[in-house]
Amino acid sequence: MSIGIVIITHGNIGREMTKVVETITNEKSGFVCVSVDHNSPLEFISKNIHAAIEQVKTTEGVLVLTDIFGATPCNECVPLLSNKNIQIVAGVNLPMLMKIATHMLPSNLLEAAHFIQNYGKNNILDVRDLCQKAGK
Amino acid sequence: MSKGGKVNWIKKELKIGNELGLHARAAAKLVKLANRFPCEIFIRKGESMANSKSIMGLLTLAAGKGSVINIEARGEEAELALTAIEDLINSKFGEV
Repeated sequence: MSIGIVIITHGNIGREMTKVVETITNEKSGFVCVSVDHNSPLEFISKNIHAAIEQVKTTEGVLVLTDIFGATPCNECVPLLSNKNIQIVAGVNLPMLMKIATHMLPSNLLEAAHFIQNYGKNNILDVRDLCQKAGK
Repeated sequence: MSKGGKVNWIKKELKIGNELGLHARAAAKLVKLANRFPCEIFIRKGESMANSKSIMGLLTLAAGKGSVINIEARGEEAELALTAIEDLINSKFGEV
């Protein structure tokens, strides 16, 4: 058993990132994505989010990743925080998903949320600097 | 390996031979393989070093075709891990 992962984003960002991750790792990720269309009624969005949580729920909890704090995909997740077994991190990026998909997430939900948030930040890199360091 | 004793690193120098270098899919294969072994495994390229169980770490090595890298492992099954990684790199990750 491991932490369940739900990705909730504007449009198909989450689905597309998941496809890329699965292509790179050549494995099913187990991520469940919710695509939020800004024309959808809030009840519909909320219902999809709850269905996704149910789908991945484990005893270790659920980590919800959303794209932007303060936008609808994230706002519709906020009520989930009444459940201590759910953590939400906004600002999802591909390095974060790659890390999770390669089974490198701490097993404790709180630790996992902090870890993946820092990991996402630490992998936003200046390519010129990196290439200079790598001697390219 | 003696319990509680000092465990030595074993090392191997290898060259990346596939056209695309240590790109995302190749790095993912290496991570998957490394994760099968309980030992610590690091990849060194020049001044940079990455944990072989971390995909972004491997990618930031920017190890293109022809790069010389050092695999360094220590702990349980370190020699097996080194051999397995050597085979993967020498097989060009199943690419060209």
